[in-house]
Amino acid sequence: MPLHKDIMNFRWDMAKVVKNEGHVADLKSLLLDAQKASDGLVPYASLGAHSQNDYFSNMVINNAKINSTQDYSDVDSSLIIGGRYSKKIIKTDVPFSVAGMSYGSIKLPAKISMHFALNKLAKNGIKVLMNTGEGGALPWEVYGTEKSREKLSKTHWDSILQFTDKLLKANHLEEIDIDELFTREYPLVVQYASGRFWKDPAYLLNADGIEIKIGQGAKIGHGGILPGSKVTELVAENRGILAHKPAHSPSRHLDILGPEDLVAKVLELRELTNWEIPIIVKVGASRIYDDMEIILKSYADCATVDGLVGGTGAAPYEVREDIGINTIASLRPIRDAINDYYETHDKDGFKLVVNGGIWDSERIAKTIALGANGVGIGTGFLLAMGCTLIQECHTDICPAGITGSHEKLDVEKSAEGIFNYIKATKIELQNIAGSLGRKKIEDIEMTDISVNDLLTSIISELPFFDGTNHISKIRSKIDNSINALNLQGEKI
Amino acid sequence: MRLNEKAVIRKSILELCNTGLPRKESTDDVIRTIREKSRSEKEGNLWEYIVALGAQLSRPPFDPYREKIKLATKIGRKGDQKISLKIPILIYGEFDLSQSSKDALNLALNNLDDNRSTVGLISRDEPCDERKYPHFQILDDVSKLADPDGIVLEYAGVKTEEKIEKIRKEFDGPIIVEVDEYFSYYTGNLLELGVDGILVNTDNITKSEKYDGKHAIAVIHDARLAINEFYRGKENDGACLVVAGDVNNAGKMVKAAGLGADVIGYDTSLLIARVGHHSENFFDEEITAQKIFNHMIATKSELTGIPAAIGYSDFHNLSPSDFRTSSIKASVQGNIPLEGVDKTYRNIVEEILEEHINTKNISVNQQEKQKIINLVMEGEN
Repeated sequence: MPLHKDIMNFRWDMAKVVKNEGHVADLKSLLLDAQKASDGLVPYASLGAHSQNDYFSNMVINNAKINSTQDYSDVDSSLIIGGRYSKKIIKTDVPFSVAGMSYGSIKLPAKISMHFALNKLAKNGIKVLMNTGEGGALPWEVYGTEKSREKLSKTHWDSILQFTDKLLKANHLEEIDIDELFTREYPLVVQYASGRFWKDPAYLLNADGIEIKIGQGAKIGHGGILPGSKVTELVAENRGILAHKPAHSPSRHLDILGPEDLVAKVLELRELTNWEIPIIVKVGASRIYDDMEIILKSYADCATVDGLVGGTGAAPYEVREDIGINTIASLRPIRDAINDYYETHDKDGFKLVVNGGIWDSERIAKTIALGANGVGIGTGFLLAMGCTLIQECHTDICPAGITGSHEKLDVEKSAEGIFNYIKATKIELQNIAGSLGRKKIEDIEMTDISVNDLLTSIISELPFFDGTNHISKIRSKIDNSINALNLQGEKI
Repeated sequence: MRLNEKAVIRKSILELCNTGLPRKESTDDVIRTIREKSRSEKEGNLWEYIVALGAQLSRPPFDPYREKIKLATKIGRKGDQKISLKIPILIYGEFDLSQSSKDALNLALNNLDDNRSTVGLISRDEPCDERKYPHFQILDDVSKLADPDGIVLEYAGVKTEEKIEKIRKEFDGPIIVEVDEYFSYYTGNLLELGVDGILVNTDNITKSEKYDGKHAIAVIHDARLAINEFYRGKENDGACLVVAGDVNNAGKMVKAAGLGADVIGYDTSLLIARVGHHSENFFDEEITAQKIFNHMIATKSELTGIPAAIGYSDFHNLSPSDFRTSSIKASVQGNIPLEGVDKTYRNIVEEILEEHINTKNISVNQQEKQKIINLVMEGEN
């Protein structure tokens, strides 16, 4: 719910008292206190955590150029997911995808903008993977291919068109061409989350991949949330839930309580889809070595790991801020888990996708250098559509019309923004890899990166610009201490 | 990521969206420059560099909406005189309240008790007759002992120990002692005398010379160590650590509990009682009480939600192993493992020192090793 004037005033009154007592007033904290005093509810937040240390900016890609006069368009930027156990693979032309952002969390015009942008990119030879998020898929996502419509009865198809008509009318988008809308040329991964917000089995059967969502960086161990103010009649109808009531997903899958349950679930989905499509397991970065160990043994094709700053449409403020580790910090234990697993297993096509605080070519390259095969981007796409960062996605007041409905989003302009964002990011990535002498984006390695601070070196195992590493820096501190304590009798 | 950094990213993405062409400037370079400029304010609030490890596959989370998460605790070491709290909070702080604010607070605390959300109160005032909640009276003068449920004494050397012995003769309830910065020297004596809890006010202690430049987490860590030292080799019979000061939101409370706090001394309820009303309105006792009540109910939900997400059905099961930090300073002060490597900075230095002295054939004994490590640690503080 939007912040009421009384809440703001109460916050200022508290700040005055705190200041008069000679303390520094933490205005953000006092605002949360004022909210809690007003409604007795847990305050929500959106987008990603305000992590004080996300490490990316402490890392530099040595001698790489995002902008080059040389043509590096032949650098291979593709990503393949699947094939480890699935018969089919998903091949995309960029190593980044649209992270899960569901209808309800974001509004219909934003979903349609992404749909059109990804179709246009596919027509231009750039296939980009889209993840539905946990709130189900829209009709044109599920039935966007001819094959998916082949076995539909006329009655069923008519009901789909009727619902589509309602969706478009409610958003004043009647001018959209239905044939164009029901064309999906990009690969779609659907989320299988604890809330099971889908009512049509075709959601799973028509997908190019299924992602079992165990957790996400912004609310690890908590389960999804869609505040009641955002559960409109149509969102409710699409998800098969009650309108205007908050949708709280269980914090865990009721049938996945341990490693063996995950294996059972992956195999269940494989049987359901005839072992054809890739199965992905998504977790937030926390006890990540242990979680990766379990995923690697679960017959999944791919893991998605979402770091602390990974975005959300809504999460309890304290859960968003205080649970989970940063993306870069998660990559070392992930590498360890993967390396340990393959010490006793033959190499196969297991893939790692990493999300959280990654939005541009440099950060994609840094993440890949540290072991990821690909990345997911969420907030970057919101910004491309005009997000102004007021961070009120959990309310219904988004001024850009992306997560709230106060203004209508310009679908065409937003789609153009996304198109350009992806196109330019692909070129930048090819420039980075090409200027490093690499033929493929996936060939960017840890040796291509250096750091400028001790902690980043410790958690990433990367060297400093001068070739030293955290071990030599700490050795030097030890030598200084020995000298200061005069333990050796002579200087070291 | 800070908001000003997100603004830099937004500008950069809009450039990509508008042109469809590669940018001229690296955004991470710009962010690095911003961070270097604000280096002086870096790592001021170490709470912001501490995170909990959430539960997922390797440990299932609990569900605070559908399952019961235990917050209740008892204060007191003797079986029949323990005080029960439904939420591990004692309202405590240094805000002076008018009588009407005190009345509102009393009403709110009674309402909380009616709603199975009992919290306690620490105050210098005589306990209110109609109270339903436990009241800990701060006692300066032993002869003025009213009828409290518990007593808080401020540590003042040997005199306090004499006071404790005197009070014990006529009072069976829990006694908590608010300690100063030298608590590590005398916590054992206090516990030996039968004190039921130690209260550390991190705001006051971090202002002392001994804790100059240190954060609340260092105080909590050291206070827990002092209590654990007393109980080395024997089972803790219920002596509690009450942490007050810089623990005024649910995130900090959970982290403080992880570092060793059993009960939180919480002052935000007093702040709400003090402000009491919208500046344009007259004071209304019921509205103020409702605000205090609402705030505590929301805080209670937060305090159940976070442990549940970490994988506990009991708030008091939180331990240091559930937390990680993205700051060397926080690792040093709170002995918290660094994220991603699961070792404290001290562990890392110890390992490198061991390897270094072996390689260089340096001869140092255990005591000297500790001196070296401590000096390296001090450099990071």
